[in-house]
Amino acid sequence: MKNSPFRFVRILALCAAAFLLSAPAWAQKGLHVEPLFDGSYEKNPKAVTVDVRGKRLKPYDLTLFRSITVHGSPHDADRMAAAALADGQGAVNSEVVKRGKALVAGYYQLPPRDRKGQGPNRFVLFRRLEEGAATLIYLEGETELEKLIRLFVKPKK
Amino acid sequence: MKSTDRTHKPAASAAEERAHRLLRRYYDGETTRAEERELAAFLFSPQADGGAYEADRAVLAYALTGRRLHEPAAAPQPRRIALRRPLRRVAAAAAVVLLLAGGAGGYRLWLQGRDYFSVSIHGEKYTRESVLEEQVRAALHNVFEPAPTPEEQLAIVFGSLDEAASPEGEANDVSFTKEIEKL
Repeated sequence: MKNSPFRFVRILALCAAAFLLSAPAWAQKGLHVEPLFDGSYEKNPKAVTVDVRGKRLKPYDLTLFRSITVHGSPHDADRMAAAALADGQGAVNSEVVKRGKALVAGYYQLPPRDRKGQGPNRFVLFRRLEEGAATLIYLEGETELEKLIRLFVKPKK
Repeated sequence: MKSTDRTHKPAASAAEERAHRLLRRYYDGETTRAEERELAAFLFSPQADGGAYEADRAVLAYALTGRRLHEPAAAPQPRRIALRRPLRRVAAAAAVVLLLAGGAGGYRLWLQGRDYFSVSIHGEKYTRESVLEEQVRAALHNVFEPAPTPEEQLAIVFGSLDEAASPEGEANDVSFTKEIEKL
């Protein structure tokens, strides 16, 4: 083995396999909302951020919950709206409210990152609040958009 | 082993003279391996036939056999097919990059499998579960149950009046509200 001429090829193949096996970890990669959840809003005095994963989300068939809410920051609200709108282009299911071309609210279900359709579904939820305020939520889980809406929207009396 | 008072016939040839000299050195323990090989070549050649070198042949044969039995054979050098230096460096760099990326991805996967939460409010981090629940509820409320802004209320009013004639995009406010009410 020590003097095998293919030693480097074997090491390279092992490293490539390690990289490919970890590919599911990058499921959020490639979405326009991804850069918004890089942690930069955690220190923003105008933002509230939440990041949850694990068994707390199991009752909702979710594995990941991330949200950002901003107040008094029109630039950030517009940035979130633009990212949600862009990601919504690839949605398999959606509920959208627009005023002209501006996104007021959007609920998007995106396909799993895996091209074979395996893995959790991804959801981008966005809502403009008052001027300069908005909330963006990113979810992952084995659920559907209708189920989420039924789960979280209180029926009107 | 000191040279014995062995008597050999006077050397008949230069080769024999050489052999006699080597034999003296051999018994004095001064010969090199090459000289011993030269001596062995002579003693086992037809020139040394005749019995005069019988004892010398036996001694040398015994010593050479013993050496062969006790000295390990030199390991054959394996053929090495060396990659060109630049290719080895590129392969090494690629392996490091892939390993680092794979390690980072593996860490993220491990992190994803763990229970984890993080809440920050206006730049301050909070670790209490009650704060987490409150903020998750608030985010979901913001997205799913907002009170209509005055602009939205006007849009809903005027949207309902124009619903029949307007393009699909402008009537969304009203249709969306109706969808939510169905739930």
